[in-house]
Amino acid sequence: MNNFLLRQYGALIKRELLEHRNLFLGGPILVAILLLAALLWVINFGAQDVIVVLLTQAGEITEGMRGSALAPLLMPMAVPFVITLFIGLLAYLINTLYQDRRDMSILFWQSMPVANINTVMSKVITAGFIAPIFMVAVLVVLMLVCAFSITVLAAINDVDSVGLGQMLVAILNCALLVYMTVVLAGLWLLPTLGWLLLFSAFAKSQPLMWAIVTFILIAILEGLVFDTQYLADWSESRSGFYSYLVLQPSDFFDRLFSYDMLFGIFLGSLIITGATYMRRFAD
Amino acid sequence: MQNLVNRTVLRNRYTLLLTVLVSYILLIVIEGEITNREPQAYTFENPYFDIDVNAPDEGLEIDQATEQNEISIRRLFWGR
Repeated sequence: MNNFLLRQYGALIKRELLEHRNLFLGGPILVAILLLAALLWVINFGAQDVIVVLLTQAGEITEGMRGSALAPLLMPMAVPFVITLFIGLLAYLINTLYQDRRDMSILFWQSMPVANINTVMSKVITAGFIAPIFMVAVLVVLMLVCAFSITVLAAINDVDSVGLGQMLVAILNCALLVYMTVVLAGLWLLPTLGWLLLFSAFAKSQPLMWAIVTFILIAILEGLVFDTQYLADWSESRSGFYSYLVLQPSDFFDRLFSYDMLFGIFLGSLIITGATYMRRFAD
Repeated sequence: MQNLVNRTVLRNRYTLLLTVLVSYILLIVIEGEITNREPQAYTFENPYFDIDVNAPDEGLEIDQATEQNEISIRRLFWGR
């Protein structure tokens, strides 16, 4: 990859981030503020004896555990962030190419020396690899605040806790595991991601409705024409989160090179290619 | 060849959409036929535990290879 192409991708990704900063950064920050408010409420207005019991139990559970072993236990904290990210990405992917056509900026970009494939891939990279970085960064800040609060609370109530050092190791490990999980989720759901982009590039109005209705229609058509329901089975098999959950770094490569993952990436690439060619037909 | 593709597949947005959708569904059907694909969601197929909602009496079987993770998760909920 030459230097010009790298700089072009850098500029395209920067454009995506500037245009959608509220989605990528605002969403996680809002979730973090809500969780912090809940934490502060519990600390200030929760029954102190219950808090002490909870801290003692947490201390007993985590006694003698190393930071890396603690990391998977912190992962449930990322669930609201991941759900927010997925909802944000759904809105981003279904609107991004559609918006380009609606505000006619597609004509400007097509007049520039930027290939359609680079524009579409910059959106895929932003959704799959860049947006999760912001989410994880906000998550780390929230976890650090929580770890500090818990350590101070434990010290005040004379309860043994894991200690800030081990907490820091656990938080960094957890951030890595969450990032790996979200990146794998992006690859696992690449056919869905491509599907949204395809209809974002295709529809003249209501792209989300087009995407959903077409999916339902071809699932019905498959039953009528082939007398099978592989599309429904295929979609169902990709709905479980176990296929991209990473609880230790080695899981990442096991899942990345699994048959289902690679076949999904192949199908996703096919649809993304379709979305790229669809950009030829600007309204 | 390129002219043929331009005149057929890339003729307008509808022919392109139709081509992509037909290719997609054909690949899924062929792959499904070859691998005998079945829905995995009902069996919760995953590397951590085996459970089949169609045969709940068999209970939850923990995979020994991932015992460490399982112990960590169990400790979170039930203590030592």
